[in-house]
Amino acid sequence: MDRRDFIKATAMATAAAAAARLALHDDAGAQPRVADGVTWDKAPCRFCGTGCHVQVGVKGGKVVAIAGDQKADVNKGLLCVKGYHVGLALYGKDRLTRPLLRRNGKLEPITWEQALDVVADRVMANPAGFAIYGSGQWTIPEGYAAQKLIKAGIGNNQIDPNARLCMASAVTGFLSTYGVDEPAGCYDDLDHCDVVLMWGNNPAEMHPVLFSRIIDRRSRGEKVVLVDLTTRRTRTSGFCDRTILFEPQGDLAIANGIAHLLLERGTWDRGFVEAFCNFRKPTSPPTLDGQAMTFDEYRREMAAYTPARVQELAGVAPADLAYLADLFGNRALRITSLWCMGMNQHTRGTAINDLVHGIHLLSGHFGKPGDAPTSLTGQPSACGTVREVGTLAHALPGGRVVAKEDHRQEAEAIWNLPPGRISAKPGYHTVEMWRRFSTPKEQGGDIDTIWVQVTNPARSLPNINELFLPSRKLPGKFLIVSDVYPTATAMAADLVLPSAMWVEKNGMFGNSERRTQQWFRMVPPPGEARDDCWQTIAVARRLHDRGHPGLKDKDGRFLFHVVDARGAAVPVWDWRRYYDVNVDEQLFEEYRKFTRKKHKDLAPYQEYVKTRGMRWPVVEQPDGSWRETKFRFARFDDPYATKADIQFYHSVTKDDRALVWFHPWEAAPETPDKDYPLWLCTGRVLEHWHTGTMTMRIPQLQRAMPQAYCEMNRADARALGVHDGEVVVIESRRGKLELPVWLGGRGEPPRGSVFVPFFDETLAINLATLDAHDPLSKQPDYKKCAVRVRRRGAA
Amino acid sequence: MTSSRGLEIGVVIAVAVAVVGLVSGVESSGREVSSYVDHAPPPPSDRVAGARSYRDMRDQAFGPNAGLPVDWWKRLRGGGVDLFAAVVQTERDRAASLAARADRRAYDGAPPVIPHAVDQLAVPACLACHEDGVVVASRRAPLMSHGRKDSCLQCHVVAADPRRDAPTVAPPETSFVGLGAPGRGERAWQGAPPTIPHPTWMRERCEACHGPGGWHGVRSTHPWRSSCTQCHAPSAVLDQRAPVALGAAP
Repeated sequence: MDRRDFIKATAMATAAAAAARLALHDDAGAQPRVADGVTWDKAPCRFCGTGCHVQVGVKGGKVVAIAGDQKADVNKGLLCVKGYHVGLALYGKDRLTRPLLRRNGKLEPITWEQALDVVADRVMANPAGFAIYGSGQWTIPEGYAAQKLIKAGIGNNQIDPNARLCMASAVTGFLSTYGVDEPAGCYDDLDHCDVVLMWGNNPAEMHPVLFSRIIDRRSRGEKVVLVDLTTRRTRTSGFCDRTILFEPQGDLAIANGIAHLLLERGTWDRGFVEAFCNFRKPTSPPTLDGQAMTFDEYRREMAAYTPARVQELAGVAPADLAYLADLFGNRALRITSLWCMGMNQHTRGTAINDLVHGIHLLSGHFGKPGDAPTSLTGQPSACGTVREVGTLAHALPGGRVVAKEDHRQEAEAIWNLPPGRISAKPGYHTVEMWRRFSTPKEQGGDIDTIWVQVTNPARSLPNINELFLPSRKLPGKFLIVSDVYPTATAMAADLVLPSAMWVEKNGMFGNSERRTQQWFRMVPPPGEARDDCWQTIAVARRLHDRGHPGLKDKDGRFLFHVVDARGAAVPVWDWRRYYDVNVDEQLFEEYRKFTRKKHKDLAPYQEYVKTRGMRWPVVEQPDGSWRETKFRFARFDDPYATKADIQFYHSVTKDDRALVWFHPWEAAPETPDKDYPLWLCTGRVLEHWHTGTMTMRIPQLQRAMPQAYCEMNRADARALGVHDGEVVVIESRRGKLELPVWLGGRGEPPRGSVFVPFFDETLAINLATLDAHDPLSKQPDYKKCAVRVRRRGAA
Repeated sequence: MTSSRGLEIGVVIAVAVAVVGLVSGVESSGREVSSYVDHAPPPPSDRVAGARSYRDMRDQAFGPNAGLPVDWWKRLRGGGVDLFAAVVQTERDRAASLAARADRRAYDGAPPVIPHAVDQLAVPACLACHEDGVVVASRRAPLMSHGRKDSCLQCHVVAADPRRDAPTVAPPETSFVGLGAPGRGERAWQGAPPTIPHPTWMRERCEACHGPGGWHGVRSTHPWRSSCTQCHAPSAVLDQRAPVALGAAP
């Protein structure tokens, strides 16, 4: 069955759509291949933020095979074990196929018409208390539609994503340093660097394709030094030239200690700093702009972070600190720093992000291929959808914020809204949204309905005993969940909407290196499952028809005005008509208008059809072609850097300079004590992604890692009298659960600390974690809190 | 006469391949790998180990290979493979080999799972056996079908809970039906070398499956010839090398 046959076979598509679809492929490199009855086409992987492209093999309307895409720059034909099995994520036996409404405590099937009415009823009853909670797994058009529904339509700005829990501190780090979000470098740095410094990062398991891209250089005879800065030995550690263990929260002291030695030894890069940097210190309360300081003040602040002090705060030997300072002090080396949740899920997340950028700037390790501080993301479109579309309570698309009048006016102009439609008041960030949802209305719990799309907050929120579970017992609180499987969140919902996933729908993602990617629907979704984007538009239309004033633009047109080739409106809220036109393309072309302001230019949709993604800014050339940018702010590659070799053209200080921050080390909000003597760190494992709702339904992945566990040091286990495999009780001040101990397992925590992965829905470690969060990014710290472990039956 | 006999054989082969494809496709999802072995070393004792005498070393097994048969090294099949020995295969051998191969994969082309325990933390020493392949008694460590890659566990995961003595958890139910093994390659005429019926990406080393240490049922009858693509043509479409349309020549 080739693509044309498949499209014929799916009742939703018209012949016109099929012809248009086929006509798109003027580049044979992007055409589906047909071999032995299997049709192969490109799609980015559904899982992490690396953004590998896979080739999806489809036969008889089902995905039957996956291959690494050899034309993809990111992965060059290779995948990880999750990517090779991503096609199986569609076929768990318990896919949701009908809308379900809770009646008398039981979820019962209803029709889509009824379901849309239930959602509309909730909005119309209390528009101010309605919120959307999404994720970095939203496709770009899905996130854009949800963003528009809330910011332009319902008008309360109550939208936030789970990416708040995952990379918000990276965003505040980029904003406070460069004045604009997202990394300057890209994955090409991994091919050019001499040193990779991993800050609390375990890419061997979490970004395996990037990790092998680095270490396979060694097999080719190249020399690349890997340095592992970590609080626990991981699978990455074994491949590293040096593993430096530090005390939780010690990362700030280490970064300051490196700066101290660079300054003391005079190995900092005077030329770079004098040309391209200003200095900043924090204010109280903290802001992204901080307060100016001179270089001499900066030097005086850093003087306190002597190797002896760093040893005391971080447990790092002076020789190790000197080793790091030697690397940064050597201008001949190219150094790439990588980090992900270790630095972001941190109550000092903005501060440590700033400090790592700071030592790269101070030492001039910036702006050359291989010299880059690069944050990685955990979700496939945390960058594309959340950071760029701005599906956050305070943001508007294209790097704008609701608090700025000119930003609101620009958005109102693009959306053709009456002036003043967009509210200047930010909505609630994730932790606050869920806290208010779990608080009675009379005690300030003013969020009474949350519509969750593409995520599982019942397991991924921190401290779920406080942030999630109370809402399920409070009268008047209503939870709507769009998902593909009966996740813990879906099973706790009042209304469940069955969704299409991945190649069951059109989509676009944006990965960690600014690469925007596109794919087409290849198989039909099961039963009555439908696209999230359609769900959003259908609800919007219900509200429009009921007379909600926000759903019309200033000319009285529906906010999601979609047209066919002749310009006639298409009622895409009717599912039978949704694939008459490419809704993704129309939403994306509208969204593109937002992207120039911050020089995050995107190409037309059709350009992405032809490629395995392009990195923004994608700038049109005189010959009409579109050119991506690999290295931002660097004149040799970035067309917007024109004045000097390096130009920070969104500089906070408006002088094309980046900000080098000083932030002091501060103690973590909760540290081990007599009652709770152990650090708890949480995280992922290679085989599973997020809360395991997809990967635990894939036999090969579930078999390799079927259950969560508590990893501990043998000496701690011996002191407790606990043996390998024994089920123990792990408890914090917030909650407890039982877990089997695994000694000598996937990682090796030092004495005084334990590690538990969060992929297992049945063993929810987030009962124990802390909801304390960074003051600027509002991102909670899942990496450190105090727990105790005891044997079952022991007091 | 000859041609109708050829046709009959062709039909028999086609049916057999279809059955194998169906069975292997259906069975490949969710089934436990049948031959999983755990020869991991015993967990380290918390006590400091006493020094071993040379006599102990000779007499007692220790270290990572302690779980192997005591005389395992004697049972290594050395370099004495007879490349010119006649290879006798039946359709049954082929079906059995393809079924065993499918048992370790979600679909044809998926990285096979590892049918034995591995160290979960350390850099794995997979290449020690799998770079060139080793045969020990009835078990074989197949050589890798692809070039050297160092992060083996990125793609290959164990086929059982890696925790010692962990309780067995039922596998998830799935309706996924993976692509089965391909049929035989096409022959331009009877006796022509068949084309390669599967992608060669990550399968550059044909001898991994088709060599003397490969799957018996799909072994080459002429393993002494080592330039496989001299005679057997790969498929550009399967290999993601479909030609780009450049327009008609002037």
